[in-house]
Amino acid sequence: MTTRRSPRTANSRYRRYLRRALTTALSIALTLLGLAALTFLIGRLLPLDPVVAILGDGASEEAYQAMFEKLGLDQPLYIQFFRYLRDLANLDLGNSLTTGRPVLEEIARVFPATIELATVAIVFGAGLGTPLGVVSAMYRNSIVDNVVRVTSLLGYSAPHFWLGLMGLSIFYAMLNWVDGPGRIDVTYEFLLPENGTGFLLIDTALAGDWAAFGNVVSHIFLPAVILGFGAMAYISRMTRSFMIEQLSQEYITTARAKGLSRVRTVWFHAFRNVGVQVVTVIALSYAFLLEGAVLTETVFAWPCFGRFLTNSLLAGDMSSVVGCTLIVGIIFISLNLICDLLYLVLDPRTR
Amino acid sequence: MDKPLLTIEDLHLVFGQGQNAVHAVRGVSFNVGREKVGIVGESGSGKSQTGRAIMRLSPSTVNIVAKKMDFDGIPLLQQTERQMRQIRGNRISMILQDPKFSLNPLMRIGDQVVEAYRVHHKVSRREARARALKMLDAVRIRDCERVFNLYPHEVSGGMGQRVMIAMMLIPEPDMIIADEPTSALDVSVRKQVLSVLDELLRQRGTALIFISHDLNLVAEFCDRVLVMYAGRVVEDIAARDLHKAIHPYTRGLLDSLPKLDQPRDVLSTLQRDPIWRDAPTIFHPREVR
Amino acid sequence: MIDNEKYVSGWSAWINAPIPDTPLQARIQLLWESLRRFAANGSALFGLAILCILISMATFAPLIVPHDIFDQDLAKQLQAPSSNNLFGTDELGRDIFSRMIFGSRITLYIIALTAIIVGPVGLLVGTVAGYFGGWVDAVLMRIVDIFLAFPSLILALAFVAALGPGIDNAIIAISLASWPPIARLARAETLTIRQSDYINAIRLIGADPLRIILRHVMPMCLPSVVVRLTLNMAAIVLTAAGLGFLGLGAQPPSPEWGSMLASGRQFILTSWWIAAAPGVAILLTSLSFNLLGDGLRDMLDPKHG
Repeated sequence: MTTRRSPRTANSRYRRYLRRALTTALSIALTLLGLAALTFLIGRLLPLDPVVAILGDGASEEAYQAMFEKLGLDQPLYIQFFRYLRDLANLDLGNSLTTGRPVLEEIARVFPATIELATVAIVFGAGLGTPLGVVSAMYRNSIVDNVVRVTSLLGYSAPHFWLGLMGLSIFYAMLNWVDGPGRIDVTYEFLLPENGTGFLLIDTALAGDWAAFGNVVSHIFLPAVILGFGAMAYISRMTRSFMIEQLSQEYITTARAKGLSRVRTVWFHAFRNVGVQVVTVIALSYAFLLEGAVLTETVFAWPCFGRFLTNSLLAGDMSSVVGCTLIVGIIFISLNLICDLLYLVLDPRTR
Repeated sequence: MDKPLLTIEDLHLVFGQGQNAVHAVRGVSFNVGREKVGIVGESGSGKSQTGRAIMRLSPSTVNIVAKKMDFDGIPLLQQTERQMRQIRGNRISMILQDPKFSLNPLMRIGDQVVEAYRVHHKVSRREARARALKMLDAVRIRDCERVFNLYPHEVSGGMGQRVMIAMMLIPEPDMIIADEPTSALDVSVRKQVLSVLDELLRQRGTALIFISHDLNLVAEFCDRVLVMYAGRVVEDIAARDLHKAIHPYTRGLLDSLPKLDQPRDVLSTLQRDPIWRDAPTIFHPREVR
Repeated sequence: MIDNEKYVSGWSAWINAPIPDTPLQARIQLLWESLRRFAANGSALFGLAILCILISMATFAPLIVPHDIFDQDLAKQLQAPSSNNLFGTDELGRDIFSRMIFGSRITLYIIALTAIIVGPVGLLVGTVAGYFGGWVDAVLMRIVDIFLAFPSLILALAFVAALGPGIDNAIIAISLASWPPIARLARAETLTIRQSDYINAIRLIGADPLRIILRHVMPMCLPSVVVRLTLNMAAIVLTAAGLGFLGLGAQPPSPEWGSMLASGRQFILTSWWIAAAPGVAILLTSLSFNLLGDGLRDMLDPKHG
């Protein structure tokens, strides 16, 4: 008997890929457009007058009019939207109403801190969450399983900023095991190189300044653990769910019938088969850390993206807020796209 | 017949505990030598569970008790998990029903066959690969090199099942348990898969336990037939003597099968008698040769 | 063979009858069976219990609080928990315990309103998109995708910033951020149901689409939507608390739990009790919805882990 002869020749397979890529690109472009429209609308809904925000209350009539025209506010709405899109295409998100500098520059300044925190948090969360999820599924309904489930339940039922507050008061104020708010002690801050990467862990390590490095670690520990705890809760729960589904499949029985050990069956067969799903979950958690980070960063006085967003919000700096929202939206969409691509690449059944 | 390979005496399988306990297998006893034994029964008769219990692959909620469950002198119920791992694949193997589900979908066919061999024999990867290719050839797969690199979803059901056979026979076990090996295949493919299996079993002198719901199929293929009903063996008879079966359930099964050479207007339906649940096995002794 | 002798007495016989006499009896038997499954789930009952405590706390708040919640007494500020003030006093001398109890009203108000908005809107959008397909589906799902492109807190933040702080604006913002997942789910369910034969049969009889959607498609989506909504409530509680923490929700001196955490923030390092009570309250509320949601899911689809 021969194998099923595939009607797809190499040529038409490429054509299928191309078509799929095009439709995906179109879909993303549309979503991005909608994103821009949404942020534009939010910007327009403001009760704040952007002219007043720049010039202050006491501006004269002519100055007001001049600024009004300069900002293009006299044009009809669709032209304003068009200009908005054009600016976006030029990577111009406007200027911050509080500092006057370009929004993109401000975001670029604060972003590394966010990435550093998010990365350390996800390493902790995924590194702990994934094996816990697997073990939990292996020994289903045992004590280990129940402990893991309860812990992760608490992990995503608790408000993270509250965990941050309690963590600070217990581990910093009372026990003094870790350092408090901020990324690094003031004493070390002046020793940092001007043009570093922005990633303090890397900068201090590269400079060989281990005292400063230790200080950075001590500052990043608590916020990273707390953020990571939330991620760990989600990741372990999802991993457990995926693994339970796999472990009930027939091919697991086959593997055991071959004489494979339980460990190999679970890790080499079942876990490999959920690999893509787990990576997707981790990627999404990474994106969500941006959200949880907004509040945790406020608690820990972390000078980064979330704080920039919140401060802009409270100051009424809408160009910054709109710019930030747009960036976040783009990040989310990109991460989703990467996950879809991963599925395509790693699962032979989709090819 | 010389000493039997597998001896089972009074096997009981209970799922769960207390009020919700399900007594799936209730006192099953039989022997298997170097022959082909078929176990026939409807859904819920306990036939699949018996097969898995032999390999100690039952779900964790199951309680297995037997007076005796010996394989080649080894008491299977007393073996530790590590000892069972030496037996599984190496001495007793199992073929499952549907290759769509019973093969790892994300692993190449060749790698899965190689794994089956390397678990029990420490050889180089190259040698294991050569053996796997030879085995794929033995199950009559043409173009072994190409199939070696395919994924399970890229081959047909019949080929997938032959891959399964190759995978389970490559470590050269003494006995194979086939759990509904052809039930998921098209009728036209069944005969081919079975003939491949038959040839390999004969070449190596491997024993077979063939679990199925299809009495016709089992009667043609096997030497001996065990009919199971409600967790018990109701009749144990040689395949060629099946027409001489005594138990009303067996007779009912036989009568409900249409035959081309004996046309009937109305097929009889099985009338179940509650007595069957607890009746002793009707054992037809093997003929002395 | 069935043991009819076991079920002799009236209710017991009726509810356990192997063959029901009327469709109503059959439906009630099914419901009873699901409720029994739910009751067997300890953690789900625990969640339900917490929720009941919360609701009674909110309802009987004026009767159980020992102190007036707006009563400032600067002489008694930042006092540790004592017999007089069970959870201590905050920076303005107000009793935290009383404020926490009244805060439950605000929380429940937010949850209830959000659920009332998000549920029907999500269900409607999802079923319409799934049933009609074509460009209706494409447009609606594009809108959903855009909303889903944001983490819900940031979206809610943006909306509140645009609309202005305040509890009602917060509710609107949270609802706007929370309806998309429900719509997605409803659409997925509708797509599976749409193919089924009984929908085709009803269409052949000549029912118009609105009737089909309302009477046949929506009820089928309802179980999973209810489960998802309950689980999302847990996240909404956290989002609302987050907005309150940032000062964008209920305004002071309103005893909203999130803003209680914010105002106590400066003193947290020395007076840990300020954050403890409201935080635990938020935690327990969110936990109860998670447990309840899990329990409902097990009740409706027992295959889950």
